[in-house]
Amino acid sequence: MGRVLAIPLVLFGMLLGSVIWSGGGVQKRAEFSFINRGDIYTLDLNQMSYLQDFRLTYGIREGLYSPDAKTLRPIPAGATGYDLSDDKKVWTFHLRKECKWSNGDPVTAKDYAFSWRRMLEDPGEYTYLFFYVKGAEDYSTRIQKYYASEGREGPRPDFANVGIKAADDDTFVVTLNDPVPYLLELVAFPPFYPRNEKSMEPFIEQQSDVQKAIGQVNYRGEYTRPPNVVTNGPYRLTQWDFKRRLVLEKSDNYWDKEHVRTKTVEMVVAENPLSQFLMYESGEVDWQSEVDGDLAAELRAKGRKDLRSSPAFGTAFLTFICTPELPSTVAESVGSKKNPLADVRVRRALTMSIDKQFIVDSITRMGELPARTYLPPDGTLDGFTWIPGPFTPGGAGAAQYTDKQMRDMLASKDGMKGAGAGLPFNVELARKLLAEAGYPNGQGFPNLPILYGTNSETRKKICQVLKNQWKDALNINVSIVGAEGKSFRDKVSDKQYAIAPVAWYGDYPDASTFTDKYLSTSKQNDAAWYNTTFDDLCAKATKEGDAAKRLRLLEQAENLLDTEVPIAPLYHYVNVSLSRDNVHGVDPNPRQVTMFKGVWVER
Amino acid sequence: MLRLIAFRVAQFPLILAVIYLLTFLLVWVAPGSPFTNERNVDKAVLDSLKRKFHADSAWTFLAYYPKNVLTGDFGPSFVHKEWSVADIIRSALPISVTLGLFAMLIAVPVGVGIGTMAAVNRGGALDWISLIIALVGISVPGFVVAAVLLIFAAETNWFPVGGWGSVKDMILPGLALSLAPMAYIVRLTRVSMLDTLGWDYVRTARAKGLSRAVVIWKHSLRNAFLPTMTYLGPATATTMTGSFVIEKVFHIPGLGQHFVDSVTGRDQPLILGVVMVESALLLVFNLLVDLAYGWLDPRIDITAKAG
Repeated sequence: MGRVLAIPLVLFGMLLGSVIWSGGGVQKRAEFSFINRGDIYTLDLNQMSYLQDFRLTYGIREGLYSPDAKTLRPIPAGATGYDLSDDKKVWTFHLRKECKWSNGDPVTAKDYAFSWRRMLEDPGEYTYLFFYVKGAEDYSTRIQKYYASEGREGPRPDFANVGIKAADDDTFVVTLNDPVPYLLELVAFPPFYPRNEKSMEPFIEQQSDVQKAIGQVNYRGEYTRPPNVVTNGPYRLTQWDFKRRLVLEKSDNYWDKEHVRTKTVEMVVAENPLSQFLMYESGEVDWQSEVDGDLAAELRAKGRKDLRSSPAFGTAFLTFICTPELPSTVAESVGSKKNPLADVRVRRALTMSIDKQFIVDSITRMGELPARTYLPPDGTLDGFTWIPGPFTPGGAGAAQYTDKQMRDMLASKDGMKGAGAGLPFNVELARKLLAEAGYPNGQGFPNLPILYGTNSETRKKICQVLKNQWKDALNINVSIVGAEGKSFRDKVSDKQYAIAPVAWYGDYPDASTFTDKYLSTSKQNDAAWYNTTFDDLCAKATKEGDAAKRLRLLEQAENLLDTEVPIAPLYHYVNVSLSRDNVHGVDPNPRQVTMFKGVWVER
Repeated sequence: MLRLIAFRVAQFPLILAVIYLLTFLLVWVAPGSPFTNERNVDKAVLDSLKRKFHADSAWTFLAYYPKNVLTGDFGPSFVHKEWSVADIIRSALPISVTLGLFAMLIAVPVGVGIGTMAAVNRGGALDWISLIIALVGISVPGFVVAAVLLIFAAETNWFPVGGWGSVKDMILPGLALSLAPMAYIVRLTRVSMLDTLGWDYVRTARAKGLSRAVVIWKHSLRNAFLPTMTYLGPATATTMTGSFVIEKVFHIPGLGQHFVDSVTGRDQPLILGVVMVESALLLVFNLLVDLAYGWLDPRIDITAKAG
C-alpha cells in the first residue's frame, strides 16, 4: 500500500509545483467588460483583417478622421480638417496640434507618412486601398521586386514619387490618381492610422548583410504588445494575456479625454458560443458583441429585449463559376468539361428558382431581408445611397425603385415575386430558361457539386435547402460537398468549384466597395465573370468627379451583376449582439464598428 | 540503473528529430496556407509574408527553423503574428499541466478505489456503478460532459462559468477532464484485481488470519496496480497537454486548444511546437513509468533488456 500510495502523493506534489508555475490569481473586472467576436489575431496595422482586431484598434488608435459612434460617418479626429484641390485629387490635412502619443511624443505628419509607407513596403491585405494614392502601386510593386531579388532588380524606387508627403509637422498632403469621394471613410479605417516609429525601433528584426545593404527593415510583432506598444487613441493597451484577456486603460495623453467616460475596458477571451452566452448571463461581461446563429434565433423567438439587432452592411450569396469549361478538379468529378453555368440562362434559372424567403424564415431566422440585389438596400448605412434598377435586361427608362419601396417590397410576402430589382422568384420562367439553354425539364444537366465550408452550419443547411428546391423546381441534381475552412477558401479563390455559398461585407459606405469585387482585374472575382461593359462602367465611375453622376454609373454596373448573376444574392445579413439596458454605446450597427470612447455602464 | 536512464535519455533527441520531420512533412503537404484569410490576397503580399517568415518553400523553412529548436526557439506563430511559439507554450503549458495533474489526482485514487471495490464485490451494486462510470467516461464525448457541467455552474452559481485564476476555476474542468482516464483506470484495476484475488499468496494471507481490508488494499493492490501503472504514463502526459474541448468550453487559456487551432489555421511552427512538447512529455513519462515498475515490483528487472 505504501508504495502505491506514493503515486498520488507524487502527483499532488507536482500539482503544487505547477500551481505556482502557472501563476493564478484573480483579477478585478474592468469598468466595462465584453466578449469580442473571437480572439485577437494581430494588432499590427499592416496585417490586420479581422473585425475583432479592428474593433479593438478603434479603442487604442486614431486616424486623421474617426468613425462617428452613431452615424459611422467620418468626423475629424487626428486632423481638424482638410483642403481639397479643384481637381479633387490633392487632399491637404491639417493635424490637430494637441494630439500626443501615449509616450508623450506629439503626433506629427511624419508618423502618418511612416505608417502609410510601411503599408507599401511590408504589404498586407489592405495595401490595395493605398493604390488610390499617386505612385503607390508602382512603388509597392517595385520595392517588393527589389527586396525579393535582394537588390538585383533595382534601383530602389524613390518614395518621393509617391503622393504621400509630410509638408511640415502639422500638414499631411495626399495626392491621388483619381477623385476618391470616400477618402475620409478610408482614412478613418485602421490601416490608415499613424504609428510611432521611435517606439518600434527596438523591435527591428536582426538584418542580414544583404538586408542592410538594400535597406530592408522588418519589425518583430512584439512591438504591438504592452508595455512596448505606443498608441494615440482614447485608451492605452496595458495588458494582453494570450488567449485570456486584453485590458485597456484611459489614456491621459488623449486630446479628447473629457469625452472618454469609462476608465478601464477589458476584452475577455471566450470562443465557445455557449460559454460566451453563460458569461453574459451570469453578469461577468456587459456586452456580447456577436451571438451564434441558432442561439440568437432562439433568444429572438423568446422575445429577449437585450438581444439587439441591426441590418448589416453585407450580403450572403451564391457564387457561380463562369468559365467556359469547368475547373479541372470539378470536371473530373462531373465527368464532363462543359460548364453549363457559363450560360447566363442557366445562372438565371438557378437564381429564379430559389425560394429565399424560405431560407430566411427557416434557417437564419433573424429577420433578414431576402435579397434581390448584391448591394445591401439603399440607406443600410448613413451616407450609403443608391437606386436599384428594375429587372428589364438591357432595357432602360423603366421605373426605378426608391429605398422605401425596395425595403417594403423585400419585407412583403410576395416581395420576391414579380417585377423589381434583380431577378424575381419565378419557377415557371426559370424552367423556360433552362429549357432554352438546352436542358428541358432538367434533362442532361450534369450533377454539379455545391461546395460549402464545414465551419458554417448555416451554409450547410442552405446547401441542403437549395438541393431540394432545385430538384423540385428544375428537376436537376446537385451534390453537396463540404471542405474544411481553409481548404474551402483555397478552392473558391483558386476557382476550383462550381457553386458555393459565400458572403461579402463592405468596408466603406460606397457602392464601389461591392462592385470592385467583380472587376475583371480584381483578385476577389471568384466567379471568373469577365464583363467589359461592367468594367467600363466602373472605370468611368472612378474618373467621374461628380458624385451623383458617378453613382448612376455604379448603379448600372450593379444592375448588370444582378441580372447577369455571376452570383445569386440570397439575403442581407443582420448583426446581433447582447447587452443590458444599463450599457450604453454598444448597440449593433451595420458595420459592427464600436467606438469605446463613448461606451459606459450605468452601475 | 543509471546506465539505463542515460541510454534512454540519449535516445530522446533522435526520436524527437524523427517526429519533427514527420510532422513537418504532414503539415507541409496539407492544403491551405497560414497567410490567407477571408479575402483573396494579392500574390505579391503573400510572397512578401512568406519571405518574411522564411516559409517560401519547405527548404527555406527547414534551413531556418529546426536549428533554432535546439535552443527552445520554435520561431514565430504564423497566425498570431506578435507571439512566438515559445511565448504561447510558456503561457499555456503551465495552465494545462496544473489542470491535467489536478484531473489525474482525481482520476487515479477514485478510479483505483472504485475498480478495486468493484472487483471485490463482483456482480454487486458497486460493480454496476463501476461499469456505468466506465461507459460514461469512455463513450460520452467531452463537450457534452463539459457543457453539462458548465450549465450546472450557471444554474447553481456555485462555480464560476469558466475562466482561469482561482482554485474554484479548476474544479469543474478538472472533473470533466478526469472522467476519461478515470474510466480506463476503473476497468483496468477491476480486471487485474479480479485476477490477483485468485492467486495463492492472497489465499495464504487470508488463511494466516490477516484482515480482508489489509489483504485487498495492501497485498493484492500492489500487484493489481501494475497494468494501471502502464496506462498512467501516456495518460498523464496527454492529460497534462490539455483538451481542446474542455479548454474551449471553460475558456481556459491552456495548450490543448492549440493542437486543433494551429491545424485549422495551418500555423506550421505552432503545430510543430505543440507536437514537440507533447512528444517530449510522453517520452519522459514513459521512462518514469518504467522506472516506477521496478520500484513497485522488485521482481521486474527493467535493466534486463537494455543490458
